[in-house]
Order: sequence, then structure tokens, then C-alpha cells
Amino acid sequence: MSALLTLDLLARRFGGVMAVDALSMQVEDGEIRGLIGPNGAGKTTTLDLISGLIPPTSGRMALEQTNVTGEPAHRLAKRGIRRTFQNLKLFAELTVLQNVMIGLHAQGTSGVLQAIMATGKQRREEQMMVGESLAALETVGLAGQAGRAASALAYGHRRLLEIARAIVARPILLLLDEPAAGLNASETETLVGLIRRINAQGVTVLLVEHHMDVIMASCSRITVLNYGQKLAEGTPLEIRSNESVIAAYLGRPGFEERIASAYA
Amino acid sequence: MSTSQFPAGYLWAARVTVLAICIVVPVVYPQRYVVHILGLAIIFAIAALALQLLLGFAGLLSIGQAAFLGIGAYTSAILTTTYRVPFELGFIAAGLVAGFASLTLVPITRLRGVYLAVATLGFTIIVHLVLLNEEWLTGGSFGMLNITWPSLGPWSLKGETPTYYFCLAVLIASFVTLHRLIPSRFGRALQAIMLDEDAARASGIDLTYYKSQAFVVAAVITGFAGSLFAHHSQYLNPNDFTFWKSIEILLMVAVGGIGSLAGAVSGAFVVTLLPEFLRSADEYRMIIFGTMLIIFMGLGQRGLAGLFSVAAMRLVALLERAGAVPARRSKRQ
Repeated sequence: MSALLTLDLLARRFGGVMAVDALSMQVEDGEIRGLIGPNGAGKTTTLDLISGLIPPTSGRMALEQTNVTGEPAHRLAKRGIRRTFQNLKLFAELTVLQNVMIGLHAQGTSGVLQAIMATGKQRREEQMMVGESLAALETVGLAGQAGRAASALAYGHRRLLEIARAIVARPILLLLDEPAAGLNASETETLVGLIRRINAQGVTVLLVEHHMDVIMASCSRITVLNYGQKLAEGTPLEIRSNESVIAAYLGRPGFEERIASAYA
Repeated sequence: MSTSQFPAGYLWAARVTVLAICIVVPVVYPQRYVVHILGLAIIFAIAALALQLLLGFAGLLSIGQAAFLGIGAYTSAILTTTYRVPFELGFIAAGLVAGFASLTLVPITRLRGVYLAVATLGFTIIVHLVLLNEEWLTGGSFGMLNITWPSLGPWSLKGETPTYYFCLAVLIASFVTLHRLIPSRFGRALQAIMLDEDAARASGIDLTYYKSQAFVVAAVITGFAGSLFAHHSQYLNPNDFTFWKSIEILLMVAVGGIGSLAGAVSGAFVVTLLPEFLRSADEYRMIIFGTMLIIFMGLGQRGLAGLFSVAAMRLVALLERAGAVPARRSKRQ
């Protein structure tokens, strides 16, 4: 295995707060990596840095041993880094199909003049995009909804649509920001299956999630963040028994009961 | 976007009907004044379509469109009058020069909403001052007189009616152009930017590049409209291109309905023709016009296009219930 993504002392400051503080980590090619930590630990900021939505204050980032530090989001997307968002960022007024087709933007080439003249190449490209997008919708189980407005979808389906938009361009690295938030138990189960299937097709996944069962069920390794720094890293088993992780995030079994009895 | 839920067959029927009316009107009402005003409405409809691309499909609020209209008008007028260039070349140059001029806006495409609007407003003011003060080129406040009628190769389009039909042809071409652009890769990128910039960036869309391109496309189309304006009136004055004209073009889009091409065209007709219809009301006409604008806006955000489609849907439903037309299957699930 080789490192697909390497972060080297990556940092991001917001005013006086170090949201991500000298974070170094490697994501191996083909794995599903979990990224966990308490609220405000810097998980989403880390994804924003990796996807290029915000530039780092300092540090380096490499994708497949190529230095990509400070590259803007659209170029990293073209290199194959795609993501979903914690607070769902869909193109609400467009159809489900159009949402996914926008994910294929970097795969196309036709511009204004080709569209005005409706050249054969342009029409073939559109057909290719429709075909690929329907296939991605099929993968996430939304093929029957292609013609509906994205805003008309049920909440769980919107989460799946974001994933379809992110995977349609066959990324090499998929960043998922709390994909299970707001899903019920059966939807969560479907999601875990979907993440595994996507990974089986060769997509490396970096998964931010608060549902520990999702993390434990799908991740081969886990990185734990706290106050923007790396607290621990290891297999699910190692993380579950790591003292500092338990103190900072997981909590001890029976912890709440002891608190309750202390105040009783 | 707003037309998507409407059955295509009825949409085409409506388009063909409107087009037929536009073709027949100069035959039925051949008075010079009527044809002239209708020609003007068509020219502004082209400019409104261009702004609709920016505002309705890219979310870019420009109050700079009069500048591009003026640049196109003066480019065409100067080339054909001072340099005796044939109209066709002047017309094409008008679009190209306006397009190039819009590249100066690239640095401000990162601005949003009101800030972008104010910056483009500044652009209108500067262009107006240039038109007013560079007398050697534009004739200054005196304006430009005796601009030729349009011509196409060996055919002169001398007179109101031939010029009207030429303007109509350019309007149709502009409509078809935008109608093809909006569902294309380019148009989807613009709509993605309008609806969520972060998601657009993360999907591989370069915001600055696409916003700039939207401005260029809109400027080229507005430049063509400017050329038509010059040769249709045969007289230019810098005061035709103050920021008030930019506001008027914005009114057309807002009245017609943001996000609808047909809306932009109908908005241009209303904003151009209504004050003419109200001429009998004399000094009250602008008050009545202003009041009607407020009422139009109050009726709903989607303007005339919204009203039309609601009315048409009701009509179709009524006809279906009466058995006059076969009921279509509901697409809703």
C-alpha cells in the first residue's frame, strides 16, 4: 500500500483559533479512513483544507506524491478529490439528474460556442453525461427520482444524491462529512453498504462521522482529532481501548450513570 | 427553470403564436410610430435576455448593461458613419467590442449581490462619461446624427418595417442561443454557481472563469442590441446610456420574471410599451407606470412569466376537464 494523501504539518488559523494545528497524517490508497473527534475538533476544517475550499495557513499536502498545497477546489476536484457536505449543499432548484451531471463538469470540455451550435461532439458529451449520471443514481438507489427537483427529495435521499454527485466522476479520494447525520437505523445500514461498495470499486474514502457504529463497521483505520491536533490513530480496536480517546471523546461505559449518581 | 414543469407541446404553441403576432403586427399597423416603438421593444428584449442570463441563471446582479448597450451602439455608429464600414461589420464589431470591454469586469466578478451591483453601476457611469466627453470620437453631448439604416449585403433595410424584421430576427437568434446555453454544460455551471458556490467549486467549476464568461456572453448580445439601437433610431445621444437605462433593463427582467427567458422578453415589451400606452395620461403617466410596477412585483416574485404559466395551467386544466383536449398523465409521483 502506498500513501494516496499525505498531510504534513497542515494548519489553518481562524483569527486567534488554530482550527487545524500541525496535522500530519497519511491516507493509504484503497482504505476507508475514519476521522472522528468531539465537536470543534477541526474535522470539517480538515475536509475543507483537503478539498481546497479554504487554503492552509501553513503546511503541505500531497496527492499521490504530487504537491498540491494551496490548489483551489476546482482543480483538486479535477484531480479526483470529491466530497459531500455536513449541511447538504445541493442545487435545490435543479433536477436530481442535473445535480449529478454538474458533478461531471470537469470530465467535459464543451463550452459556449459548441452549445450554441449544438455540435455532434457536444451532443455526444451530453449523452455521455446523462448516461454516467443515471448510472451513479442507480448505484445510490435514486434512479427512479432523476426527473424530480432536488428540493423535493426526502432528507435521506438528499444525502444519497450528494454522494451520487461526488462519485459520478469516479474520484480517487472521496470525503464524506457526516453522511449518516439525520438518518434512521435502516437508512444508516444502507449507507454503510453503499460506502463499502464505493470503496470496493477502488475509491479511497475519508469518513467524518459521529455515529460510532458506522465508523466501526466500515473503517480499517481511524484518526482521532482533538483541538485541531491528532490525538490518536489506529485500528478500530486500538482506538476503542485508547485511554486518551476515551477521556476526550468516547467516554467510559457507565460514565453518565456515575455523573447522575454524583448529583443525586 | 420556471418553464420546466409546463408541457412542451403547449409551450411551443405559445411561442409560435407570439412569433406569428410579431410578424403580422407591422402589416396590420403599418404606422411608422407603432413599428418604431415595437422595434425598440424588440431591441430592449434582446438586452433583457442578456441580463436574464446573468441575473436569472448565474445570480449576477449587473447594473452595468447600459454601458455595453452604449459601447455596442457607438462602435457600430462610429464605424459605419465616420469610417464608412458596411453595417454588417459594424454590427459584428459592436458585439465584439462590447465583449472585450466586459473583460475589464473580470476583477470584480468575485463580488456578490449588492457589491457587484454597485461596481457595475460604476462601470455604467464611467462609460457614460467617456461617451459624453470624448467629443472627437462620439460627438459628445451633441450626439451622432444620420446613422445609416441597417443593410445586409446587397439589400438595404431602409425604413422602419424592414429594420423591425431584422431586429426580430436578431431577437429570435438571441433567444435560441440562450435557450441552448442554459441546459448545456456552461449553463449548468452558471446555475450551480448561483445556487451554491461551495458545491460548485467542489464539483470542479472555476467560479471566476464561468462568471467572467457569463459577463462576456451577455455583453456580446447586449452589444448587438446596441448596434440595432443605433441604426434603428439613426441618432445617438450619450444620455441614452446613463445608469437609468441599466435600471430600466433590470426592471424588464424583474417585471418579466427572474429565471425565465420568455419573461425577459415580455418584461421588455411591458416596460417599453406601457409608458407609450399611457401617453394620454400625460404628466401622470410615470406615476401610473410606477404604481403598476409595484403591483406587478406584489403579485409574486416570478413576474409576468409566473402569472402567465399559472393562468395557462388553469386554462389547460379547465379544457381537460371539459374534455376539449386529451388529459395528460400527471408526472408528479
